[in-house]
Amino acid sequence: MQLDDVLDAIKGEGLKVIKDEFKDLLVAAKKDKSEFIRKSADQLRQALIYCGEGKLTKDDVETLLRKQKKIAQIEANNSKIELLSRIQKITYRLLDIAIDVLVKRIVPVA
Amino acid sequence: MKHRYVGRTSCFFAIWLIATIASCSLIGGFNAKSHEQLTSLKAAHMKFLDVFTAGRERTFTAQKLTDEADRVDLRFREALEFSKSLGDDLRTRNLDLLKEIYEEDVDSVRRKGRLLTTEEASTLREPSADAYDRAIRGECARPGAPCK
Repeated sequence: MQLDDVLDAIKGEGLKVIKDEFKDLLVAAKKDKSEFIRKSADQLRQALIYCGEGKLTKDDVETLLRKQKKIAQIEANNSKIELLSRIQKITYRLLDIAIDVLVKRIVPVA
Repeated sequence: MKHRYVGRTSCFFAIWLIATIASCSLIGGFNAKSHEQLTSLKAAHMKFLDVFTAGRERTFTAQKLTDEADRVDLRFREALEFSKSLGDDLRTRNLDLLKEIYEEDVDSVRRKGRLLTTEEASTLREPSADAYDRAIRGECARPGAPCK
């Protein structure tokens, strides 16, 4: 079973726009350079297919997707941790060296 | 004279720059106890899922579920209290999210009211283990971390 089969089986007024947006986002996620975004989209696609095939219940899929959302939040927090760590590891050290050593010893070139 | 002015300006600029960066909330350094707590919580969570997966001599009772869930919940509370004492919101937020993921799994088992099949356990285990691995990577991304 393909994801399109699962989505085509979902009928309802005004759902076409939502389904098209969902498909576009999946395509964009598949091409994204972030490993997390690609993996997350792939797991979502697989979970919906399993649900369509009856291998997972709707409750199982909802639990899985809620967990994926929390994992996305952990990943977002990690991005902040990594950025702040880089600032401290690199920028702080650069400034320390500049202030403590270099600026005091600069000999202006005439 | 001009050189002295330029030198002084550079110094002021450098001091201003470091003060500006220092005013941003800084990230706490790697903490070995936090790292150990994350690996230990991951093991406890995975063990919880094993205990409630169908297998030899395993049984399901609501009381057993409550007891096991409380045991792991206590460990989360201890880790959260320790994390709060370190005063780093990002570390505490990641722990909160892990606790919520754990509670999702407990609620899922509770709603089923029986032991999990191997497939159901795998569906719960894989994303949960991934969440811990990512939180551990977050701890290892902190300044001074010996791990990666």
